[in-house]
Amino acid sequence: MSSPLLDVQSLHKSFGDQKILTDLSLQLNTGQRISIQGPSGCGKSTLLRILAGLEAADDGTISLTGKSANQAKRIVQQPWQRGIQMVFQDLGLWPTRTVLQHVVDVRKASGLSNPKAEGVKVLQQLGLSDFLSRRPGKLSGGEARRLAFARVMALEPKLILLDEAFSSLDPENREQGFAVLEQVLESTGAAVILVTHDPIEAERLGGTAYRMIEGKLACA
Amino acid sequence: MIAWLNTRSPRPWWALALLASLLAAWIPLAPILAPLVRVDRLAEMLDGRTALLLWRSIWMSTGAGLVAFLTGWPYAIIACRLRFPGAGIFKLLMPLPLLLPPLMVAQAWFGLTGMTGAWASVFTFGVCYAPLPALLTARSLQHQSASAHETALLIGPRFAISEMLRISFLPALIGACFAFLFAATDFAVPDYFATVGDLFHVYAAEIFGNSRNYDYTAGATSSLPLVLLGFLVLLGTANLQRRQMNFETMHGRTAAPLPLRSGRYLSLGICLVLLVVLLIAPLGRIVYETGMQGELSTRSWSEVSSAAFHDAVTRGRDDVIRTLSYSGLAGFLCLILAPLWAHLLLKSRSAWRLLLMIFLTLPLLVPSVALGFGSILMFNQPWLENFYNSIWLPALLVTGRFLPIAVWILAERMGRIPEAQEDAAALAGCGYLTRLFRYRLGPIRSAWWLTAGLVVAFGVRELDFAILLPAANQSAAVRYYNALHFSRDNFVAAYGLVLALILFLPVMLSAWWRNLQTKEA
Amino acid sequence: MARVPAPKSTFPNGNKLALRSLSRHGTGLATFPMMLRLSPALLLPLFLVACSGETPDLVVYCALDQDLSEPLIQEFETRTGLTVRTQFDVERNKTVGLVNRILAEAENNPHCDVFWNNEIAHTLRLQQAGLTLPYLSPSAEGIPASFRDADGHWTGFAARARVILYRTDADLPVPRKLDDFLDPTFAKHGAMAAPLTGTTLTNAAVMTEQRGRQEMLDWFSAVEAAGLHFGSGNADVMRRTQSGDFHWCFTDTDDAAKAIDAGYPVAVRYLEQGDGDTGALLIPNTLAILNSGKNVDAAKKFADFILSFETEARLAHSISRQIPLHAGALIPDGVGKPGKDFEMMDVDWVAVAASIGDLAIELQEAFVR
Repeated sequence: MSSPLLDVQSLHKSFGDQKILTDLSLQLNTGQRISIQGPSGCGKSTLLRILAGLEAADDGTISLTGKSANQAKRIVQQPWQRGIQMVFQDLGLWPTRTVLQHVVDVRKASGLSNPKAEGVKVLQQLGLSDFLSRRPGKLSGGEARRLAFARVMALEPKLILLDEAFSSLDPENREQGFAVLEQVLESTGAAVILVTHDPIEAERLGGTAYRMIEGKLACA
Repeated sequence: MIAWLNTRSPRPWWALALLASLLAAWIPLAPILAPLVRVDRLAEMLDGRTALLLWRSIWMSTGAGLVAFLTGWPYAIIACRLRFPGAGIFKLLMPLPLLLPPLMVAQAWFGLTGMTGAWASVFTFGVCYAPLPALLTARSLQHQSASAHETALLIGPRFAISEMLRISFLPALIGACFAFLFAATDFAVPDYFATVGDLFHVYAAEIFGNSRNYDYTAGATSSLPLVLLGFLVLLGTANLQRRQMNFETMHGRTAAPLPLRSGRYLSLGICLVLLVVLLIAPLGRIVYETGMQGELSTRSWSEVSSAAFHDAVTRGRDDVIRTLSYSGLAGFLCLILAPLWAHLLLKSRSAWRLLLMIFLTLPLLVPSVALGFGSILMFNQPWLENFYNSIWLPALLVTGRFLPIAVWILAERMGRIPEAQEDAAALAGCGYLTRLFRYRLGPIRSAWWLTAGLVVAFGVRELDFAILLPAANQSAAVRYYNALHFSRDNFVAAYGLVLALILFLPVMLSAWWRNLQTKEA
Repeated sequence: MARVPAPKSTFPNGNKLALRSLSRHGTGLATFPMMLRLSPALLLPLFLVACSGETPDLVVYCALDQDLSEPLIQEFETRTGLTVRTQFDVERNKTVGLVNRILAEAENNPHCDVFWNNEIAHTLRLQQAGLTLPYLSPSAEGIPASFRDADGHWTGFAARARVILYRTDADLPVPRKLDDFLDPTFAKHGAMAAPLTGTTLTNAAVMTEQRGRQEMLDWFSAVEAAGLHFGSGNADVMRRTQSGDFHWCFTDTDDAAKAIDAGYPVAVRYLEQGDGDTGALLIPNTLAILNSGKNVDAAKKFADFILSFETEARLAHSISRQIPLHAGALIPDGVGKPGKDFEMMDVDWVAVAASIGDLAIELQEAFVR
């Protein structure tokens, strides 16, 4: 039986005296979709950052396709070794790079083949081929969101983490955002974890829905 | 009166700021404005010799900007955004080289290496002004979106570092442009290296020589090329700054330093080498020179050094107090005027803004000896005698001359504060002063204090017009300069260290306090 | 109630909520608007106090090094009970700054009562501008006629000689007279200050008076071609000689004294510049009372004090080793004695002063490059 894509066991994390994650466990298979709901400050974003390797937990283990990624406080696999990409609420675009550079440079840096050709293909798929030489500051909100997803798509990750990536959007733009996400998931076959405070987003994503309660996950 | 102070309209306060600049800078400028624009007279002065001097100044200043860029830029990136042992200390010490008198640094490097000539000046200016690109780099990295940084980190550490380089390149370049400007108008450092080595001159020496002749307006005329060059560079940096602002935004989360595994000792090594060059070596040499003497002398190093420090404190104490008085007063005036000016610039349309910038900046670009003579001609009136002899005159001139630096820094910072904050305060009925100082300036008050501190530091270093004003004539800079050129090297070294310590302490204390507050937050 | 102008943008959740969140940023500056309102009350007394400073009894503009002149001025204050405001200059301005300042202030409101110069040419410039008051101080008796104005517009005292400072630890030739500089054997091991300011400029003006303008310019070109180094100032070429960069330099006795006192292996030779290559050039300090000064009596007392035997003796014993001009003055060891260590050359100082202004511009064009 193959290992799950993501296997989190008994994760603990505190900030000072405040316990954020308490004995949290989670499993995720290839292509699976998970949403995690909870109010602001409950630890959803912290969980994602630990999964991405951007922060260390206090205790617990994380494995990615059977290989240890986190062991208690130690980060075994660095963020760039995990095959995980993340889309933040503010999208995290790089202001000095053009739209084209956002996809081509990341493919080059990751050692992926045909960076330019594949990059242009991704941008065409997401309707950004008219903006190749523009910088993020000159894009509309929707275009910027598509660029963030294009970047993810260009990297062909195994797991995509969405940290309130659709929050503060009106229903129409949110729907457009999800349409883009569907394109990315179809193209990459990646699994996805979406954290949100909005149950509508969780419902739209589908898959398994959880709630974060007192640092643990419970089925919604 | 109270109602007037509570007015919601900014116009009376803007008028006050303009009036203050008129008094502090443009009235002293008035006698040299006509000579400054005498292009026909300048054409007579310009020949092969002066063109060569101008060219030498330009290439030397460009070299200085390059050295500042190549030392300050990597230092800031490594100290501020990479995690390695001692990074906090390197970050704390980053601004200090800017507070060392360039002449003292020149003396130190000559003593350490025997370097002389134009390249020695290039190097000295570069290391003195390296904090300019460093500080601007550090600030731009502070404004880097944490999510952008982390997204880059998910690609790889090299990609994350390349993103840091990209986002900090323009600010570092802006800092290098300021280093260029300061180097181009400085006469004292090239003059020093010309004294200890083969004779050479820069264009500032031509201006100085012309100012020293009986008709000092000749100095004003000959300064026009440097004034125009200064304006061009400032317009260029304003453009670069506008481009940079598109790349930066204020975010709630700041990016964390990049943890390094194998690279942390290399980072420590690079920072240490740079810090030695920028700060430790010159300071160490100056400490050594406090006790240095000839081979036939019978006194020990510590005897000579102690005597030098004793001399520095007893002979120079009154000058330091006097200097700090008028510079401190100038700093206080800038605390009031700089935010008003910065706000005025932000609210002005582009054509007006350009005119206002010229109005504000010209006093910084003309030779300061011209400002000194101008203030004698304008303020030396029988009915103004008490004012002319008081510390208010030098305080006013220091304010007028260095206010542009404070205004640029504040305008750039204030521009990042959303207007909605001020608008909300206006809707709630707050007066203009409250809106400006509480809601627009509030989030950036460390920058506000920094600008006042910079004006004080530049006031302490000012020499050329200070010597011409009764209350500033016996200043710390004058005593230092004279002692250096009268070869009282032990005293010079000790006095320079005392001055450096006085300037260092507030900066280090405030940086340490800010660090503590950031950690607590 | 005043009308609030319409905002450009609105805060989404209401102004009170906005202000509550904003005030987090403003707490440190909560009182500043109040402080700003109070600032006229803070600044006005400071302004009034600063502007109501005591009027001094005497104002002296002094070009001599502050460390040398200040103790003497303080002594004068102690003895007479008069308060003196002293204004100094930076070394690089070489008195021109003070003189230009006197001229600029004289246009509207002169301040200076006494000008104490460390050389002579610019003092004569003030006399030529009609700004000096004739006063024959009794203290000046005994000072040679060539070092004082017949009517007392200025008086010279405590001079520096133009000398060769040379290293004693090397066996290389050292010039004895000015034209030795033309010989590469001497020139390539020596240095002098560029004749742009100070005593070097004055020396160039003396040469002009002796030889003529073109000959003087040709002489400088020739010595440079012979290999003589030009430095920025007397102290600077002295420093390079003491550190061994040069074997000898052409400087002043006060700079030479510093190298000797600091323990370097150097000695002094008085350079013969006068007619027949005899006579060392002495450049005196000069004192002039200004006719626009407000404190003439105090100025005269000051002149009597500074021009006295005692002051010259103190300056002779100071680190600058200035040479007393009073006849019969007791000259300490280490200070050159006129008539014994050297002969003094005669100089027409009026002619020198008349040419120095134009000469400065011409030499700037020759040497600032």
